[in-house]
Amino acid sequence: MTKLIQLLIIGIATGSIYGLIALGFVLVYKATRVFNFAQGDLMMLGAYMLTTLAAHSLGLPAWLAIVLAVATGAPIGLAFQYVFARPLIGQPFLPVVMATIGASLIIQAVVLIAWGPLDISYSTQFPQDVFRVSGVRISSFDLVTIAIAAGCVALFALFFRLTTIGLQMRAAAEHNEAAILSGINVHRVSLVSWGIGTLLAFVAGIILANAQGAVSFSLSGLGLLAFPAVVIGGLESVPGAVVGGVIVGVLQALIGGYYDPLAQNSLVYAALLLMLLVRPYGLFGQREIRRV
Amino acid sequence: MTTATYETRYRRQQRLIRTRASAVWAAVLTAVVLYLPWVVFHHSLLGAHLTKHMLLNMNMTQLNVMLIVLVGAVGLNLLTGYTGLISIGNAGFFALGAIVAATLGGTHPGWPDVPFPVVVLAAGAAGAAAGAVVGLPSLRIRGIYLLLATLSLHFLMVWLFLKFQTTYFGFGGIQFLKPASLFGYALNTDIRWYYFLLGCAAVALLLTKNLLRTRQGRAFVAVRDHPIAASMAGINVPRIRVTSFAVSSFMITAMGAVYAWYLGAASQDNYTLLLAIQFIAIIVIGGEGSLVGTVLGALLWQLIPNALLAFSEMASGISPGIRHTVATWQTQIANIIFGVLILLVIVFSPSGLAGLWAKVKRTFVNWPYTG
Repeated sequence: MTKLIQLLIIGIATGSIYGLIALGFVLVYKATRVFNFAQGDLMMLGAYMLTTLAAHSLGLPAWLAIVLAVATGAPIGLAFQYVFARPLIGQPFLPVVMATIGASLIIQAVVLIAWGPLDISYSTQFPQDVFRVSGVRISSFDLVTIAIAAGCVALFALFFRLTTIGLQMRAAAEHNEAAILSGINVHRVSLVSWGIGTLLAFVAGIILANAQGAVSFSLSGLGLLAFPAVVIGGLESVPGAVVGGVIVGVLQALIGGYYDPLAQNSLVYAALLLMLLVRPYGLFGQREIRRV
Repeated sequence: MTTATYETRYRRQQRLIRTRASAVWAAVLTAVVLYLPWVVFHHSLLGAHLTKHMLLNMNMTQLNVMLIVLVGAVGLNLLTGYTGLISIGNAGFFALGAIVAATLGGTHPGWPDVPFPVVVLAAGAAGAAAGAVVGLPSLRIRGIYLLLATLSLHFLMVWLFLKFQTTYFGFGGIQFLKPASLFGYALNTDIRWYYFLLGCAAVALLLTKNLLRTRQGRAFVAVRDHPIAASMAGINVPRIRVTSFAVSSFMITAMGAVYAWYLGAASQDNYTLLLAIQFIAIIVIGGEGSLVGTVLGALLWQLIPNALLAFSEMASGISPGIRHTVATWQTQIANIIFGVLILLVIVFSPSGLAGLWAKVKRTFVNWPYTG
């Protein structure tokens, strides 16, 4: 029982990171209909950015390095939109996916060339102490992670509800042509979505760098776990992305704890397949009626 | 001006080679591919010596791997280019092929030792079955879900492979020590392998070409272009999709068995998602829905990294640093080039290099009436 609770806490903490990546993905998908295969690679890019900004030679305080690294996410997302998404507006679904797959090839290669294949160590400034609550060991970093993720989701929800651009984004996601007709600048909506989507990926990457104490190329594999998360939650559901991420994290922790740590990244995909079999529209997605 | 090749008889229209020009092309290409291994192996062209750089550092192994990849890409193009479904499962299917080859190929004491051709066919059958199981649910709903289903197939297969490898063979990988033999003819040299693989590629290309000329094959294209219209025309869309996925998985997995056997060893590191992505790059750059394009794409896949290295070696006289940089990051630089090419092709020439070639040809044929 203690072990189960322990694993659940770890799973929720890592899962909330996946939830952030998935949230960024869903946001872009809803607003622009681009299935961004490179979302996980953007997450990795964020983690590597942090190692550069936090390097001793720059002499930045740790918190400033983190803030700056998060901030670089927005311009990178905008650049990504200009290079990979904008030339493809109006193209059918398949070429767009392929372009983002090409983007993933490029980002991975650039990261390897720029930062090298070796792990880069990074010393976190977050509290790493562990305390015990009736036998269950809880790392305070896990709590920090959950808090940051919850904060991001709350901010995001407020942004969606309270700002004009948030309203425009919801409108564009609901019905793109109607949004254009009512005078919404869909291009700006797309830019903002890419900016926020990438920012969220960067936040996730930076939390992962802090959690692991090192940044390595294996992060690209972790980034792909956003896909089981979005399928479980529903491709077009914002709350679904977060819930899906947490489910993936918990599944991963349970597989690792009770079966085989080596299998924890792979077997999660069995859940994806099962979901496609039973409820392809996900837990929160809308059931599509298409008879072809 | 020539607008098209017209036939007056239906039988002529059905022929594979319809014009004299394509007959000449076919003859020249056949001669070239048959003679190629001698050029690459002996570094000489009709008696004239060629330097390593003139051949872009090509060697027999690379030539053979390229042929294997070509067949895998033909399988993927049948699915993506002709049926309009995207799969990222090629590396996973290759891993499955290696598992079947290791199980049936007498690599482990006490396990069955089946003749090589049977192993290859069995691998193909396993691939078709796995493809149907994984693809079935997703093919019924929407195209993108196949991407996600094959992504999970990739990770599950690679994990299964790792489990299989570490349980029975250890961390070093699976060794295929017995030389493959084809009806008593041992494939023990690279040149023999080349002709065998060339045969495989020819069979795959011809079979696909012929499949696309049948009712079934035209249904693939109809489903790609407009699923709703296709179903109105009496095509069972889910069934066509599953058929296409099964045929494509058959070819890819059969080649996975050949690949493992040709390399002589298979380990988990061979089957990365990057490999699967490179297959997608091959068919997008070469041309979706074009067999010529698939061949061009596979050629580029092998030649770009080689050319990079060869050029950097030639340029090392000017700047010695280049050679080292390119040698260190050869794969990465090639991947960046592939990524950029994918984007350029999608934006400027959606039918890939094959489409570009057709455009150039049309320009010359219709000259000066080209607009």
